[in-house]
Amino acid sequence: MAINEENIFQILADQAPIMVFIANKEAEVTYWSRNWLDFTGLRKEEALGKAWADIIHPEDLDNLASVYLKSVETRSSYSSESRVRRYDGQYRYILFKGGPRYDANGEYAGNIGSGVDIHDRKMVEKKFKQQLEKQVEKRTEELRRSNELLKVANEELTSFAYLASHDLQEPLRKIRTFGSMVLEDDANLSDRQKSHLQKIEKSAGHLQQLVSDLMAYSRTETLDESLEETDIEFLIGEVLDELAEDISKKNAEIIVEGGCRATVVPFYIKQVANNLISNSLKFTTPDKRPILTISIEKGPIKNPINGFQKGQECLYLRFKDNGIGFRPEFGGRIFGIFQRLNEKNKFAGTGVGLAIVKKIVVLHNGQIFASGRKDEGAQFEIYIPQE
Amino acid sequence: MVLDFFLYLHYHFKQMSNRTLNIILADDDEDDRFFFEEALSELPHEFELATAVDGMDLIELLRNSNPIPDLIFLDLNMPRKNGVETLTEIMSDPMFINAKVVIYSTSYDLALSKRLFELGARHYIQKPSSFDKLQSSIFRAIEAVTQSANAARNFENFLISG
Repeated sequence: MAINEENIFQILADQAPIMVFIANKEAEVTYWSRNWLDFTGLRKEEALGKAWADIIHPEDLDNLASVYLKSVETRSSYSSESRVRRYDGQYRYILFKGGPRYDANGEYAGNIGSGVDIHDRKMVEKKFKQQLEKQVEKRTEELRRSNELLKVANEELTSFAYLASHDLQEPLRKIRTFGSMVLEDDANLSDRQKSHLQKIEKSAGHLQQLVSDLMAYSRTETLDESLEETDIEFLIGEVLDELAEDISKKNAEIIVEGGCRATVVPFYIKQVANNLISNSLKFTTPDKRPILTISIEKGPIKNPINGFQKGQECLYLRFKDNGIGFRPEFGGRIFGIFQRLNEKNKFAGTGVGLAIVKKIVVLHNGQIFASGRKDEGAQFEIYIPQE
Repeated sequence: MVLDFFLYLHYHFKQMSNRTLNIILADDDEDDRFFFEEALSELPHEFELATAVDGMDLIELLRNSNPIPDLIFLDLNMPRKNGVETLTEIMSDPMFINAKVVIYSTSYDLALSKRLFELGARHYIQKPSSFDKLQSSIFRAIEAVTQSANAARNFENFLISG
Protein backbone atom coordinates (compact mmCIF):
# COMPACT_ATOMS: atom_id res chain seq x y z
CA MET A 1 0.00 0.00 0.00
CA ALA A 2 1.40 3.39 -0.88
CA ILE A 3 2.03 5.68 2.05
CA ASN A 4 0.52 9.14 1.87
CA GLU A 5 -0.59 11.78 4.36
CA GLU A 6 -3.97 10.25 4.90
CA ASN A 7 -3.09 6.72 5.46
CA ILE A 8 0.22 7.08 7.29
CA PHE A 9 -1.54 7.08 10.59
CA GLN A 10 -3.56 4.05 9.58
CA ILE A 11 -0.49 2.13 8.54
CA LEU A 12 1.47 3.05 11.65
CA ALA A 13 -1.38 2.25 13.94
CA ASP A 14 -1.99 -1.11 12.41
CA GLN A 15 1.69 -2.00 12.26
CA ALA A 16 2.52 -0.86 15.77
CA PRO A 17 2.80 -3.61 18.32
CA ILE A 18 0.43 -1.78 20.63
CA MET A 19 -3.27 -1.11 20.53
CA VAL A 20 -4.25 2.39 19.42
CA PHE A 21 -7.59 4.11 19.80
CA ILE A 22 -9.25 7.42 19.19
CA ALA A 23 -12.12 8.53 21.35
CA ASN A 24 -14.37 11.59 21.58
CA LYS A 25 -15.29 13.76 24.51
CA GLU A 26 -18.09 11.38 25.48
CA ALA A 27 -15.70 8.45 25.81
CA GLU A 28 -17.01 6.90 22.63
CA VAL A 29 -14.29 5.22 20.65
CA THR A 30 -14.28 6.14 17.00
CA TYR A 31 -11.24 4.14 15.94
CA TRP A 32 -9.45 1.00 17.09
CA SER A 33 -6.27 -0.29 15.57
CA ARG A 34 -5.89 -3.75 14.12
CA ASN A 35 -4.16 -5.08 17.25
CA TRP A 36 -7.05 -4.17 19.45
CA LEU A 37 -9.51 -5.94 17.18
CA ASP A 38 -7.29 -8.98 17.11
CA PHE A 39 -6.87 -8.97 20.86
CA THR A 40 -10.51 -8.62 21.73
CA GLY A 41 -11.80 -10.72 18.89
CA LEU A 42 -14.34 -8.04 18.09
CA ARG A 43 -15.24 -6.86 14.62
CA LYS A 44 -14.77 -3.17 13.86
CA GLU A 45 -18.48 -2.38 14.11
CA GLU A 46 -18.83 -4.20 17.44
CA ALA A 47 -15.87 -2.49 19.02
CA LEU A 48 -16.76 1.15 18.42
CA GLY A 49 -18.70 3.49 20.66
CA LYS A 50 -19.03 2.44 24.21
CA ALA A 51 -18.50 -1.21 23.56
CA TRP A 52 -15.19 -1.07 25.33
CA ALA A 53 -17.00 -0.88 28.66
CA ASP A 54 -18.24 -4.44 28.22
CA ILE A 55 -14.85 -5.96 27.98
CA ILE A 56 -13.17 -4.10 30.83
CA HIS A 57 -13.08 -6.12 34.03
CA PRO A 58 -15.97 -4.97 36.24
CA GLU A 59 -13.65 -4.24 39.15
CA ASP A 60 -11.50 -1.92 37.05
CA LEU A 61 -14.29 -0.24 35.10
CA ASP A 62 -15.15 2.54 37.54
CA ASN A 63 -11.58 3.52 37.98
CA LEU A 64 -10.83 3.61 34.28
CA ALA A 65 -13.96 5.60 33.56
CA SER A 66 -13.26 8.20 36.20
CA VAL A 67 -9.61 8.54 35.16
CA TYR A 68 -10.68 9.05 31.58
CA LEU A 69 -13.37 11.57 32.40
CA LYS A 70 -10.97 13.52 34.55
CA SER A 71 -8.54 13.75 31.67
CA VAL A 72 -11.31 15.04 29.45
CA GLU A 73 -12.27 17.65 32.03
CA THR A 74 -8.77 18.82 32.56
CA ARG A 75 -7.61 18.09 29.04
CA SER A 76 -4.57 16.31 30.42
CA SER A 77 -2.93 13.01 29.79
CA TYR A 78 -3.73 9.93 31.81
CA SER A 79 -2.52 6.47 32.53
CA SER A 80 -4.40 3.50 33.92
CA GLU A 81 -3.94 -0.23 34.35
CA SER A 82 -7.07 -2.20 33.68
CA ARG A 83 -7.99 -5.77 32.97
CA VAL A 84 -9.47 -6.39 29.53
CA ARG A 85 -11.17 -9.54 28.29
CA ARG A 86 -9.28 -11.19 25.48
CA TYR A 87 -10.83 -13.09 22.60
CA ASP A 88 -10.42 -16.35 24.57
CA GLY A 89 -12.23 -15.05 27.64
CA GLN A 90 -9.09 -14.47 29.73
CA TYR A 91 -8.72 -11.10 31.38
CA ARG A 92 -5.33 -9.55 30.85
CA TYR A 93 -3.76 -6.44 32.37
CA ILE A 94 -3.51 -3.63 29.84
CA LEU A 95 -1.76 -0.33 30.47
CA PHE A 96 -3.82 2.43 28.85
CA LYS A 97 -2.14 5.76 28.20
CA GLY A 98 -3.70 8.65 26.41
CA GLY A 99 -3.90 12.35 26.00
CA PRO A 100 -6.01 15.14 24.48
CA ARG A 101 -6.38 15.65 20.75
CA TYR A 102 -7.60 18.64 18.85
CA ASP A 103 -9.46 18.87 15.57
CA ALA A 104 -8.50 20.91 12.51
CA ASN A 105 -9.96 24.05 14.08
CA GLY A 106 -7.96 23.64 17.23
CA GLU A 107 -10.99 22.60 19.18
CA TYR A 108 -10.66 19.98 21.83
CA ALA A 109 -12.00 16.81 20.30
CA GLY A 110 -11.33 14.05 22.76
CA ASN A 111 -8.61 11.53 23.35
CA ILE A 112 -6.04 9.51 21.54
CA GLY A 113 -4.28 6.73 23.29
CA SER A 114 -2.70 3.33 23.35
CA GLY A 115 -2.87 0.11 25.31
CA VAL A 116 -0.05 -2.30 26.04
CA ASP A 117 -0.43 -5.83 27.31
CA ILE A 118 1.46 -5.83 30.59
CA HIS A 119 -0.16 -8.95 31.94
CA ASP A 120 2.95 -11.11 32.16
CA ARG A 121 4.90 -8.40 33.87
CA LYS A 122 2.04 -7.86 36.27
CA MET A 123 1.90 -11.54 37.15
CA VAL A 124 5.59 -11.64 37.90
CA GLU A 125 5.25 -8.53 40.06
CA LYS A 126 2.35 -10.04 41.95
CA LYS A 127 4.13 -13.29 42.57
CA PHE A 128 7.24 -11.50 43.70
CA LYS A 129 5.20 -9.34 46.08
CA GLN A 130 3.46 -12.39 47.50
CA GLN A 131 6.76 -14.15 48.07
CA LEU A 132 8.14 -11.08 49.77
CA GLU A 133 5.11 -10.78 52.01
CA LYS A 134 5.36 -14.42 52.91
CA GLN A 135 9.02 -14.03 53.78
CA VAL A 136 8.32 -10.99 55.93
CA GLU A 137 5.50 -12.81 57.67
CA LYS A 138 7.72 -15.81 58.31
CA ARG A 139 10.54 -13.64 59.60
CA THR A 140 8.15 -11.69 61.84
CA GLU A 141 6.80 -14.89 63.28
CA GLU A 142 10.31 -16.22 63.86
CA LEU A 143 11.27 -12.99 65.60
CA ARG A 144 8.15 -13.03 67.70
CA ARG A 145 8.82 -16.57 68.75
CA SER A 146 12.44 -15.99 69.63
CA ASN A 147 11.42 -12.86 71.54
CA GLU A 148 8.97 -14.94 73.51
CA LEU A 149 11.63 -17.49 74.31
CA LEU A 150 14.05 -14.77 75.32
CA LYS A 151 11.46 -13.21 77.54
CA VAL A 152 10.72 -16.49 79.26
CA ALA A 153 14.39 -17.31 79.68
CA ASN A 154 15.04 -13.84 80.99
CA GLU A 155 12.19 -14.02 83.46
CA GLU A 156 13.40 -17.36 84.71
CA LEU A 157 16.91 -16.06 85.10
CA THR A 158 15.78 -12.91 86.81
CA SER A 159 13.58 -14.62 89.31
CA PHE A 160 16.21 -17.32 89.81
CA ALA A 161 18.94 -14.78 90.42
CA TYR A 162 16.65 -12.80 92.65
CA LEU A 163 15.47 -15.79 94.65
CA ALA A 164 18.93 -17.31 94.85
CA SER A 165 20.46 -14.17 96.16
CA HIS A 166 17.51 -13.64 98.46
CA ASP A 167 17.84 -17.16 99.86
CA LEU A 168 21.57 -16.72 100.20
CA GLN A 169 21.07 -13.79 102.53
CA GLU A 170 19.48 -15.86 105.25
CA PRO A 171 22.33 -18.22 106.17
CA LEU A 172 24.81 -15.39 105.66
CA ARG A 173 23.03 -13.24 108.15
CA LYS A 174 23.03 -16.06 110.63
CA ILE A 175 26.72 -16.72 110.17
CA ARG A 176 27.43 -13.10 110.94
CA THR A 177 25.04 -12.92 113.87
CA PHE A 178 26.40 -16.06 115.51
CA GLY A 179 29.86 -14.80 114.73
CA SER A 180 29.17 -11.51 116.44
CA MET A 181 27.73 -13.32 119.46
CA VAL A 182 30.89 -15.38 119.85
CA LEU A 183 33.10 -12.34 119.46
CA GLU A 184 31.14 -10.62 122.20
CA ASP A 185 32.33 -13.30 124.58
CA ASP A 186 35.62 -11.45 124.50
CA ALA A 187 37.04 -12.60 127.80
CA ASN A 188 36.87 -16.26 126.90
CA LEU A 189 38.62 -16.02 123.57
CA SER A 190 42.29 -16.31 122.87
CA ASP A 191 43.80 -13.72 120.56
CA ARG A 192 44.21 -16.36 117.89
CA GLN A 193 40.56 -17.37 118.10
CA LYS A 194 39.48 -13.75 118.02
CA SER A 195 41.60 -13.13 114.95
CA HIS A 196 40.21 -16.17 113.13
CA LEU A 197 36.67 -15.23 114.00
CA GLN A 198 37.24 -11.72 112.75
CA LYS A 199 38.46 -13.12 109.43
CA ILE A 200 35.34 -15.26 109.22
CA GLU A 201 33.22 -12.21 109.94
CA LYS A 202 35.06 -10.20 107.28
CA SER A 203 34.62 -12.85 104.60
CA ALA A 204 30.98 -13.29 105.47
CA GLY A 205 30.55 -9.54 105.25
CA HIS A 206 32.13 -9.47 101.84
CA LEU A 207 29.96 -12.34 100.66
CA GLN A 208 26.88 -10.58 101.94
CA GLN A 209 27.81 -7.43 100.03
CA LEU A 210 28.33 -9.50 96.92
CA VAL A 211 24.96 -11.17 97.22
CA SER A 212 23.34 -7.81 97.84
CA ASP A 213 25.02 -6.33 94.77
CA LEU A 214 23.96 -9.32 92.70
CA MET A 215 20.40 -8.79 93.82
CA ALA A 216 20.61 -5.17 92.73
CA TYR A 217 22.06 -6.30 89.40
CA SER A 218 19.34 -8.84 88.78
CA ARG A 219 16.65 -6.39 89.80
CA THR A 220 17.63 -3.92 87.11
CA GLU A 221 16.38 -6.45 84.57
CA THR A 222 12.83 -5.55 85.32
CA LEU A 223 11.46 -2.32 84.04
CA ASP A 224 8.76 -1.76 86.63
CA GLU A 225 10.08 1.67 87.14
CA SER A 226 9.01 4.06 84.45
CA LEU A 227 10.46 6.98 82.56
CA GLU A 228 9.90 10.46 83.92
CA GLU A 229 10.99 13.92 82.92
CA THR A 230 13.52 14.73 85.62
CA ASP A 231 15.74 17.58 86.75
CA ILE A 232 19.10 15.82 86.44
CA GLU A 233 21.08 18.31 88.50
CA PHE A 234 18.62 17.86 91.34
CA LEU A 235 18.89 14.10 91.06
CA ILE A 236 22.68 14.22 91.27
CA GLY A 237 22.31 16.57 94.22
CA GLU A 238 20.23 13.99 96.05
CA VAL A 239 22.90 11.36 95.48
CA LEU A 240 25.60 13.72 96.76
CA ASP A 241 23.52 14.30 99.90
CA GLU A 242 23.25 10.58 100.45
CA LEU A 243 27.03 10.25 100.08
CA ALA A 244 27.82 13.36 102.14
CA GLU A 245 29.56 11.42 104.89
CA ASP A 246 31.88 9.56 102.52
CA ILE A 247 32.60 12.75 100.59
CA SER A 248 33.66 14.59 103.72
CA LYS A 249 35.65 11.62 105.00
CA LYS A 250 37.72 11.66 101.85
CA ASN A 251 37.81 15.44 101.77
CA ALA A 252 36.70 15.17 98.17
CA GLU A 253 35.76 18.09 95.99
CA ILE A 254 32.75 17.50 93.77
CA ILE A 255 32.05 19.94 90.96
CA VAL A 256 28.74 19.77 89.15
CA GLU A 257 28.56 21.63 85.84
CA GLY A 258 25.51 22.27 83.76
CA GLY A 259 22.09 20.81 84.24
CA CYS A 260 18.97 20.06 82.30
CA ARG A 261 15.74 18.15 82.37
CA ALA A 262 15.70 14.77 80.70
CA THR A 263 13.50 11.72 80.40
CA VAL A 264 14.99 8.88 82.45
CA VAL A 265 14.06 6.42 85.13
CA PRO A 266 15.10 8.54 88.13
CA PHE A 267 15.69 5.63 90.51
CA TYR A 268 18.03 3.92 88.05
CA ILE A 269 19.97 7.06 87.14
CA LYS A 270 20.44 7.74 90.84
CA GLN A 271 21.96 4.30 91.10
CA VAL A 272 24.29 5.05 88.21
CA ALA A 273 25.41 8.29 89.81
CA ASN A 274 25.76 6.62 93.18
CA ASN A 275 27.93 3.81 91.83
CA LEU A 276 30.16 6.10 89.77
CA ILE A 277 30.60 8.68 92.51
CA SER A 278 31.27 5.95 95.10
CA ASN A 279 33.89 4.50 92.82
CA SER A 280 35.57 7.86 92.45
CA LEU A 281 35.59 8.23 96.21
CA LYS A 282 37.01 4.77 96.59
CA PHE A 283 39.70 4.62 93.95
CA THR A 284 41.72 7.59 95.06
CA THR A 285 45.45 8.14 95.31
CA PRO A 286 46.64 9.15 98.77
CA ASP A 287 48.78 12.02 97.56
CA LYS A 288 46.06 14.01 95.83
CA ARG A 289 42.86 15.59 97.04
CA PRO A 290 40.12 13.71 95.19
CA ILE A 291 38.34 15.90 92.67
CA LEU A 292 35.32 14.68 90.74
CA THR A 293 33.70 16.73 88.00
CA ILE A 294 30.19 15.84 86.95
CA SER A 295 28.95 17.40 83.70
CA ILE A 296 25.30 17.44 82.73
CA GLU A 297 24.23 18.46 79.24
CA LYS A 298 21.51 17.85 76.71
CA GLY A 299 21.67 18.31 72.99
CA PRO A 300 22.41 16.71 69.63
CA ILE A 301 25.53 14.55 69.57
CA LYS A 302 28.45 16.22 67.89
CA ASN A 303 30.72 13.28 67.14
CA PRO A 304 29.28 10.26 65.38
CA ILE A 305 28.49 7.40 67.75
CA ASN A 306 27.95 3.94 66.42
CA GLY A 307 24.35 2.96 66.93
CA PHE A 308 22.95 6.47 67.21
CA GLN A 309 21.38 8.55 64.45
CA LYS A 310 23.40 11.51 63.28
CA GLY A 311 22.68 14.48 65.52
CA GLN A 312 20.55 12.39 67.90
CA GLU A 313 19.34 14.42 70.86
CA CYS A 314 20.91 12.94 74.01
CA LEU A 315 21.34 13.47 77.70
CA TYR A 316 25.08 13.61 78.22
CA LEU A 317 26.62 12.83 81.59
CA ARG A 318 30.31 12.84 82.32
CA PHE A 319 31.97 11.71 85.52
CA LYS A 320 35.66 12.56 85.58
CA ASP A 321 37.94 12.01 88.55
CA ASN A 322 41.63 12.29 89.34
CA GLY A 323 42.05 8.96 91.08
CA ILE A 324 43.94 5.80 90.29
CA GLY A 325 42.36 5.47 86.87
CA PHE A 326 42.97 2.31 84.91
CA ARG A 327 45.16 1.14 82.06
CA PRO A 328 43.46 2.02 78.77
CA GLU A 329 43.75 -1.52 77.46
CA PHE A 330 41.34 -2.64 80.19
CA GLY A 331 38.69 -0.13 79.20
CA GLY A 332 36.62 -2.84 77.57
CA ARG A 333 36.59 -5.18 80.54
CA ILE A 334 35.74 -2.61 83.12
CA PHE A 335 32.00 -3.15 82.79
CA GLY A 336 32.15 -6.91 83.01
CA ILE A 337 30.44 -8.41 86.01
CA PHE A 338 32.86 -9.39 88.75
CA GLN A 339 35.63 -7.69 86.79
CA ARG A 340 37.99 -5.90 89.09
CA LEU A 341 41.06 -4.19 87.77
CA ASN A 342 42.91 -3.80 91.03
CA GLU A 343 44.42 -6.30 93.43
CA LYS A 344 41.87 -7.93 95.62
CA ASN A 345 43.02 -6.51 98.88
CA LYS A 346 43.84 -2.99 97.83
CA PHE A 347 40.32 -1.70 97.43
CA ALA A 348 37.11 -3.15 98.78
CA GLY A 349 34.53 -3.97 96.17
CA THR A 350 32.60 -6.73 94.52
CA GLY A 351 33.07 -5.87 90.87
CA VAL A 352 29.34 -5.56 90.27
CA GLY A 353 28.88 -1.79 90.54
CA LEU A 354 29.94 -0.89 87.01
CA ALA A 355 28.09 -3.86 85.55
CA ILE A 356 24.93 -2.40 87.07
CA VAL A 357 25.75 1.03 85.68
CA LYS A 358 26.17 -0.37 82.19
CA LYS A 359 23.00 -2.38 82.44
CA ILE A 360 20.98 0.65 83.43
CA VAL A 361 22.45 2.74 80.61
CA VAL A 362 21.64 -0.02 78.10
CA LEU A 363 18.11 -0.25 79.49
CA HIS A 364 17.74 3.42 78.61
CA ASN A 365 18.94 2.57 75.06
CA GLY A 366 22.03 4.57 75.86
CA GLN A 367 25.76 4.00 75.65
CA ILE A 368 28.59 4.40 78.12
CA PHE A 369 32.27 4.91 77.43
CA ALA A 370 35.08 4.56 79.92
CA SER A 371 38.48 6.09 79.42
CA GLY A 372 41.40 6.53 81.70
CA ARG A 373 45.09 6.37 82.31
CA LYS A 374 46.82 4.68 85.20
CA ASP A 375 47.09 7.09 88.13
CA GLU A 376 45.62 9.88 86.05
CA GLY A 377 41.97 9.37 86.79
CA ALA A 378 39.02 7.77 85.09
CA GLN A 379 36.29 9.25 82.96
CA PHE A 380 32.86 7.85 82.25
CA GLU A 381 30.70 9.33 79.52
CA ILE A 382 27.06 8.41 79.22
CA TYR A 383 24.74 9.16 76.33
CA ILE A 384 21.03 8.59 76.83
CA PRO A 385 18.89 9.31 73.78
CA GLN A 386 15.94 11.62 74.24
CA GLU A 387 12.94 11.68 71.95
CA MET B 1 30.19 -0.05 122.07
CA VAL B 2 28.14 -2.78 123.61
CA LEU B 3 28.76 -1.35 127.06
CA ASP B 4 27.48 2.05 125.96
CA PHE B 5 24.37 0.39 124.69
CA PHE B 6 23.66 -1.26 128.02
CA LEU B 7 24.16 1.96 129.91
CA TYR B 8 21.72 3.60 127.53
CA LEU B 9 19.31 0.77 128.13
CA HIS B 10 19.51 1.00 131.88
CA TYR B 11 18.77 4.69 131.80
CA HIS B 12 15.86 4.23 129.47
CA PHE B 13 14.31 1.33 131.22
CA LYS B 14 14.01 3.40 134.34
CA GLN B 15 11.56 5.50 132.37
CA MET B 16 9.50 2.56 131.21
CA SER B 17 6.77 0.97 133.24
CA ASN B 18 7.76 -1.94 135.41
CA ARG B 19 5.12 -4.40 134.44
CA THR B 20 5.96 -7.53 132.52
CA LEU B 21 5.57 -7.21 128.78
CA ASN B 22 3.87 -10.04 126.91
CA ILE B 23 5.48 -10.64 123.58
CA ILE B 24 4.75 -13.19 120.88
CA LEU B 25 7.23 -13.97 118.13
CA ALA B 26 6.13 -15.74 114.95
CA ASP B 27 9.12 -17.04 113.02
CA ASP B 28 9.57 -20.39 111.31
CA ASP B 29 13.34 -20.36 111.75
CA GLU B 30 14.74 -21.98 114.88
CA ASP B 31 17.93 -19.89 114.86
CA ASP B 32 16.03 -16.64 114.49
CA ARG B 33 13.82 -17.60 117.40
CA PHE B 34 17.00 -18.29 119.39
CA PHE B 35 18.49 -14.89 118.48
CA PHE B 36 15.29 -13.12 119.47
CA GLU B 37 15.03 -14.92 122.80
CA GLU B 38 18.69 -14.24 123.57
CA ALA B 39 18.29 -10.59 122.69
CA LEU B 40 15.28 -10.23 124.98
CA SER B 41 16.94 -12.07 127.83
CA GLU B 42 19.84 -9.64 127.85
CA LEU B 43 17.54 -6.64 128.08
CA PRO B 44 17.14 -5.71 131.71
CA HIS B 45 13.38 -5.98 131.79
CA GLU B 46 10.67 -8.50 132.40
CA PHE B 47 9.33 -10.23 129.34
CA GLU B 48 6.98 -13.12 128.82
CA LEU B 49 7.83 -14.56 125.45
CA ALA B 50 5.70 -17.03 123.53
CA THR B 51 6.67 -18.25 120.09
CA ALA B 52 4.75 -19.49 117.08
CA VAL B 53 6.28 -21.36 114.17
CA ASP B 54 4.15 -19.88 111.40
CA GLY B 55 1.04 -17.83 110.65
CA MET B 56 -1.52 -20.48 111.49
CA ASP B 57 0.25 -21.25 114.72
CA LEU B 58 0.25 -17.56 115.59
CA ILE B 59 -3.47 -17.11 114.98
CA GLU B 60 -4.21 -20.07 117.22
CA LEU B 61 -1.88 -18.79 119.89
CA LEU B 62 -3.57 -15.40 119.74
CA ARG B 63 -7.04 -16.90 120.06
CA ASN B 64 -5.94 -18.65 123.21
CA SER B 65 -4.25 -15.59 124.69
CA ASN B 66 -6.22 -13.52 127.10
CA PRO B 67 -5.52 -10.67 127.07
CA ILE B 68 -3.79 -10.33 123.71
CA PRO B 69 -0.04 -9.71 123.95
CA ASP B 70 1.48 -6.24 124.16
CA LEU B 71 3.53 -6.84 121.07
CA ILE B 72 3.66 -9.30 118.20
CA PHE B 73 6.82 -9.72 116.17
CA LEU B 74 5.94 -11.20 112.80
CA ASP B 75 8.30 -12.80 110.30
CA LEU B 76 7.21 -12.58 106.65
CA ASN B 77 8.60 -15.69 104.96
CA MET B 78 6.77 -18.47 106.70
CA PRO B 79 5.19 -21.65 105.33
CA ARG B 80 1.48 -22.46 105.55
CA LYS B 81 0.51 -18.85 106.15
CA ASN B 82 3.01 -16.09 105.43
CA GLY B 83 3.38 -12.76 107.18
CA VAL B 84 1.21 -10.72 104.85
CA GLU B 85 -1.67 -13.16 105.01
CA THR B 86 -1.35 -13.42 108.79
CA LEU B 87 -1.25 -9.67 109.27
CA THR B 88 -4.30 -9.24 107.06
CA GLU B 89 -6.17 -11.82 109.11
CA ILE B 90 -5.16 -10.32 112.43
CA MET B 91 -6.03 -6.77 111.42
CA SER B 92 -9.43 -7.72 110.08
CA ASP B 93 -10.46 -9.63 113.19
CA PRO B 94 -12.32 -7.47 115.75
CA MET B 95 -10.85 -9.59 118.53
CA PHE B 96 -7.33 -8.42 117.68
CA ILE B 97 -8.12 -4.90 116.73
CA ASN B 98 -5.63 -3.45 119.17
CA ALA B 99 -2.81 -5.81 118.33
CA LYS B 100 0.50 -4.09 117.86
CA VAL B 101 2.49 -5.88 115.20
CA VAL B 102 6.11 -5.31 114.33
CA ILE B 103 7.33 -6.90 111.11
CA TYR B 104 10.56 -8.82 111.63
CA SER B 105 12.03 -9.88 108.32
CA THR B 106 15.24 -10.64 106.45
CA SER B 107 14.57 -8.52 103.41
CA TYR B 108 13.13 -5.09 102.79
CA ASP B 109 11.06 -4.06 99.83
CA LEU B 110 9.62 -0.56 99.76
CA ALA B 111 6.37 -1.47 98.04
CA LEU B 112 5.71 -4.39 100.35
CA SER B 113 6.61 -2.31 103.37
CA LYS B 114 4.10 0.37 102.36
CA ARG B 115 1.46 -2.30 102.02
CA LEU B 116 2.23 -3.68 105.46
CA PHE B 117 2.05 -0.18 106.91
CA GLU B 118 -1.35 0.29 105.29
CA LEU B 119 -2.49 -3.02 106.70
CA GLY B 120 -1.75 -1.71 110.17
CA ALA B 121 1.71 -2.87 111.22
CA ARG B 122 3.41 -0.51 113.63
CA HIS B 123 7.02 -0.93 112.59
CA TYR B 124 9.36 -2.92 110.38
CA ILE B 125 12.65 -4.40 111.50
CA GLN B 126 14.99 -5.70 108.86
CA LYS B 127 16.94 -8.40 110.70
CA PRO B 128 20.49 -7.08 111.04
CA SER B 129 23.65 -9.14 110.74
CA SER B 130 25.13 -8.48 114.12
CA PHE B 131 23.77 -9.46 117.47
CA ASP B 132 24.00 -6.11 119.18
CA LYS B 133 22.30 -4.38 116.25
CA LEU B 134 19.56 -6.96 116.56
CA GLN B 135 19.18 -6.19 120.23
CA SER B 136 19.01 -2.48 119.69
CA SER B 137 16.42 -2.86 116.90
CA ILE B 138 14.18 -5.02 119.06
CA PHE B 139 14.56 -2.69 121.96
CA ARG B 140 13.76 0.38 119.87
CA ALA B 141 10.68 -1.32 118.49
CA ILE B 142 9.45 -2.18 121.95
CA GLU B 143 10.12 1.33 123.14
CA ALA B 144 8.44 2.92 120.14
CA VAL B 145 5.32 0.83 120.54
CA THR B 146 4.92 1.07 124.31
CA GLN B 147 5.89 4.71 124.70
CA SER B 148 3.85 6.16 121.88
CA ALA B 149 1.11 3.56 121.91
CA ASN B 150 -1.63 5.91 120.81
CA ALA B 151 0.37 8.27 118.63
CA ALA B 152 -0.56 8.49 114.97
CA ARG B 153 1.48 6.13 112.82
CA ASN B 154 3.88 7.71 110.39
CA PHE B 155 5.46 5.87 107.46
CA GLU B 156 8.65 7.82 107.93
CA ASN B 157 9.18 6.06 111.26
CA PHE B 158 8.01 2.68 110.02
CA LEU B 159 11.38 1.13 109.29
CA ILE B 160 13.67 0.59 112.24
CA SER B 161 17.22 0.15 111.05
CA GLY B 162 19.96 -1.33 113.25
